Amino acid sequence: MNLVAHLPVIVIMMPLIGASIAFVAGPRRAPLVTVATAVLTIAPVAWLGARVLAEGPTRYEIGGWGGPLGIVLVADGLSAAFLGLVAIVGLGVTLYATGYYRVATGSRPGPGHGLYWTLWLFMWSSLNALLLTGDVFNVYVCLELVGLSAVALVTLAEGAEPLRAAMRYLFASILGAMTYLLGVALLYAATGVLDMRMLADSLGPSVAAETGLALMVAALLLKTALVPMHFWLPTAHAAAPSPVSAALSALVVKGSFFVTLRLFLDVMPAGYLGGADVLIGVLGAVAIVWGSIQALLQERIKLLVAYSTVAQVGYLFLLFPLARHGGEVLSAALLGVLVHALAHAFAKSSMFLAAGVTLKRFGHDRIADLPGTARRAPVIAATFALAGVTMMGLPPSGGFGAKWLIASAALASGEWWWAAVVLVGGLLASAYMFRLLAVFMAAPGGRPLPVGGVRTLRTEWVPLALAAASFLLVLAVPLVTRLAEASAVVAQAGGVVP
Amino acid sequence: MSTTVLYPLLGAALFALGVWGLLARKHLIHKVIAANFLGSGVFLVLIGLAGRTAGADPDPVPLAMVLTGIVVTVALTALALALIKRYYSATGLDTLEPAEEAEQ
Amino acid sequence: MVDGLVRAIGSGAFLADDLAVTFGVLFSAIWGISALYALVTVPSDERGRLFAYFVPAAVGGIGVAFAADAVSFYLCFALMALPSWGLVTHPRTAEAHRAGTAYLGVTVLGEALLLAALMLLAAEAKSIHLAELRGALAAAEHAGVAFALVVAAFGLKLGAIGASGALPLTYGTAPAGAASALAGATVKVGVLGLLRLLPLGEVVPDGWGAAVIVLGLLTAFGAAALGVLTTTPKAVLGYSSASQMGLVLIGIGAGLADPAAGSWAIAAAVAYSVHHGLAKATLFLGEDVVRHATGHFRRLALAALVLPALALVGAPLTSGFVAKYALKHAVHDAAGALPHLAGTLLSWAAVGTALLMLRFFVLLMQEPVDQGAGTVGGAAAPRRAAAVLWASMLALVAGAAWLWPAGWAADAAHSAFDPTSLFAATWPGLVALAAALLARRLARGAVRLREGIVPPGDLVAGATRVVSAWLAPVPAPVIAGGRTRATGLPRMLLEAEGFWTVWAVAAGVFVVVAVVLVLVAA
Repeated sequence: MNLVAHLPVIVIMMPLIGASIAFVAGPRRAPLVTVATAVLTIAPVAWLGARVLAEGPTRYEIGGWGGPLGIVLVADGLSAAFLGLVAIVGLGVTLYATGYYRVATGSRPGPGHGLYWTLWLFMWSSLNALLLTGDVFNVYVCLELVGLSAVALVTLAEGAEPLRAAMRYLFASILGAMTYLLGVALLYAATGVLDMRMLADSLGPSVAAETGLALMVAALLLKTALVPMHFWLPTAHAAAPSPVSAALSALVVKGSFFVTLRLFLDVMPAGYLGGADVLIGVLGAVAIVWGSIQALLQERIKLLVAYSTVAQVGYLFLLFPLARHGGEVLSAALLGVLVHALAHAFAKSSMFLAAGVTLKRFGHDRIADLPGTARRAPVIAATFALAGVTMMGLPPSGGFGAKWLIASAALASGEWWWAAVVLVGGLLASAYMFRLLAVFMAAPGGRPLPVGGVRTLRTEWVPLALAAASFLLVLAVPLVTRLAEASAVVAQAGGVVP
Repeated sequence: MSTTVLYPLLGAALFALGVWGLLARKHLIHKVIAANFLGSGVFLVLIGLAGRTAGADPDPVPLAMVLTGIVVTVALTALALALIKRYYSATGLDTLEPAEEAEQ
Repeated sequence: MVDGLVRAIGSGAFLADDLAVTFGVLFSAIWGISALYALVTVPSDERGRLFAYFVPAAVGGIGVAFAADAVSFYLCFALMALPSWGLVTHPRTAEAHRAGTAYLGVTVLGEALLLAALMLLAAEAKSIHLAELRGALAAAEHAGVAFALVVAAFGLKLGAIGASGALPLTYGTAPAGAASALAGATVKVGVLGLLRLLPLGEVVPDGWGAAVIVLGLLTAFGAAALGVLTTTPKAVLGYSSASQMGLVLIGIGAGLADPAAGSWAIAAAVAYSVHHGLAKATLFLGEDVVRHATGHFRRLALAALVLPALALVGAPLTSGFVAKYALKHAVHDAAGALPHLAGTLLSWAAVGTALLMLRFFVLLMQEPVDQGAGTVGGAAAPRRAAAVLWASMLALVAGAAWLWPAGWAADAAHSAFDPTSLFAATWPGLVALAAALLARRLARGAVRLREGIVPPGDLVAGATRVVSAWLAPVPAPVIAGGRTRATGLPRMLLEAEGFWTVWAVAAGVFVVVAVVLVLVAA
């Protein structure tokens, strides 16, 4: 049996099998199964990435069935980069969760503990499938699977607020998925194919195809929470248990963004949707400003971090107006957005996980009531400081590399206003991060902070490690550059390095 | 009027109705039913497409999509109903926003 | 672009040209002595907290002198400027916290402007090396914008008019060892940045020189006026720093206005940085020494402080005289009415400086003796060590006029003895003295400056107060029930977000966006 050829499907099956075992093994053994799965999933992902680097993009036909009926998986540099991100952050989140659910109620597992492992691995598997699929209908199925498991994960938190948030999330998810499917139907009516590569070959001027793709893109924007369609994100991400918040903010929004990227860069010819790419860029700019302002005004850490996601997602969409210029501008912007997606995922997951520790240790996450955190929980404060450096885009963090690349692409294209937006975003991010850090560094207030839960190594050091990864991500830029070059779009644009 | 035109048009109308319901109805169960309208609307569009080449065998791809879609929609509906049940027992509410906001 | 970024971070793009070595030695001396001073004067239980910020700030503050490309410069700049916030907020009082917030606001704004300038120039030069960025500035597509960004970014650091208030605010709360480093070294990074990025000695668009000269004049006189009206010795010193940096701006403006004045402008900027850095650091340490001394030693310390004060005024045989010599040449060599007007006004600026120094001494002599951490009169050991460190700083100030390597410095020293320049160097001090005595007589019984007409921090403090009032985190009882205490603009913004996120509105917005996308696409 030639395992190498089956790598794409192994990457999807590994967490799926783990999820099934975790469910049957029961709540007591599930954490161990999940950790084992997380570790084991890294191997095929790394192998697949190495293969893509060595041999270029690969296609895999599930069960040997090719298009138009069968489902095709495509692994190129872009999917490998995102798969690697999911694997690393996923491992961190899993390790953290084993500590988090023990902290919850001393030695007895807390509420939601039993189902967390299975649902989390299901979501992981669905995300991997979403990142590998080469078929627009299969994207719909994967989006629904990710959405279903994500909504279920949000409800694991206690209280009524998470249920309300989950419900809004679910309805938003249904609205998005159905709109996407309507778009697929129209696209199929016009072209008769669902495979992305075949679509790229057969797309011509057609009102049905354009309308279909516009609906699909609109749905994906809703799923990625681009302002003004972000309404479901802050409540859902803030209300969920912290390991879930981290995965949702760091990974799930990147999944739907990844599909948007595929549609714009791999499927549609440049300018196919008219001015839609510029419109999306404008919304991205608005997201950066509006999300940051809201983050600046929040009173709770988790809401601050969630609104920061609304803002940071905006940077991703600056790619589309820049991509129209092709060539060097496209390559630099794509690399910048890629680095930003990775840096943000590491930083954001670390902040949500650290916020979870704050909640467990001090019983709340109200910013005003946390002075002296730097002394009482130095690892937590260090995590927010390191992740904050990435958010602000200071060197040598990944966030700096990303912002430099995106702004350079904007200046090279002559559309300097996108660079201005990037800088304003950095300024606002500094403001909301320093507002939090200043409280942490302040002298402990008169009232002693209540200390609850048990400190475990995992719950404090995993977030710090993820924050450090976001800080040092710039070291991985050469690797990310090679991965970006192993994607069709950059190869066409003539490589990344000008 | 052929099926390829009639069915998609009906489907689109049903979809629009579903969007309206999902937006405007306050009661959560009503929203779930409206969401099912959305699904049915899309499926009707797809079924209309299956028979678009007159005389030939129907295209199996849209039918496969509809079948998959129905499975997903059933799962979504089940999750939504279970969630509403839990939400109702936790809050006593059958709307998303508390009453005074829901009235507006 | 990518390559350069990776290389810069991987290998660290640094250089050691004359400018780098001069500023590097200066910054190392000031940061080093300041660190030792802080070490012996800060109570041992606070040392860890102070040096957690001090060390990175010093590393960045010295490294920035040697940075050769945009990325390493920006990295060192940020490493210096951001941790310095911990130096400002060190006392952990409400006042220190406010000062820290103001400092952070000015710093972060300055960094954003600097990054914008660097990016714009890097895109133009297709390189990240500072030398090539400087070469690209004058001919850049958006040259005016890039120039404005450079001047604004470093102007904020220098305490140019409008931002002058940041200097007294931040020095007011930082411990003496930190304040001397901030005033002596970090402000000079603004000068270094201008020298690295502005093409002095080359032809630049009309108006650039004039703009910088006007900014310099406004800063030199404005900051002096504000400083005279403040009521603490450290605040006076802060405004004096801003005022002196205004003189540097005048010199740089002259260099931009006429390429012929370029080399004198550079010499003046470097000389002012060295001279003012050492003198101001000595004044800050001396202020601390005096406040902790009693009796005979207090009088001795006050007398010794006259040396750096005279240097700032530009008295003969001091480093200030050398620096002013270069500055006069720069404005004299530049053709045009404005540089000449500035040249005439230089002596009047010296009057301002002299007034500031008199005000400093008057206020310092009124300061009560701080018994808290031991005094030299009581011969506490740490205080004696501090006095020795301060004396070494004094020696540097005294020697700075003689150790100057450039050949022209010898000419400057000689010229000190010809009658005209002797007169030019002394009359501002005498005028200031007369004015101060007159003001003292007039003010008796009339307007008292005790409470300060100008609160330290002027515009900067005011802006900070407004913004922090909006953004202050709200404690638990007030946000209970999901209602925010926020008022005014923040409340409007939060309510707008609340409106958007009502389900029916939000989903409706999605439908609108989808329809618009379809219309745009099809």
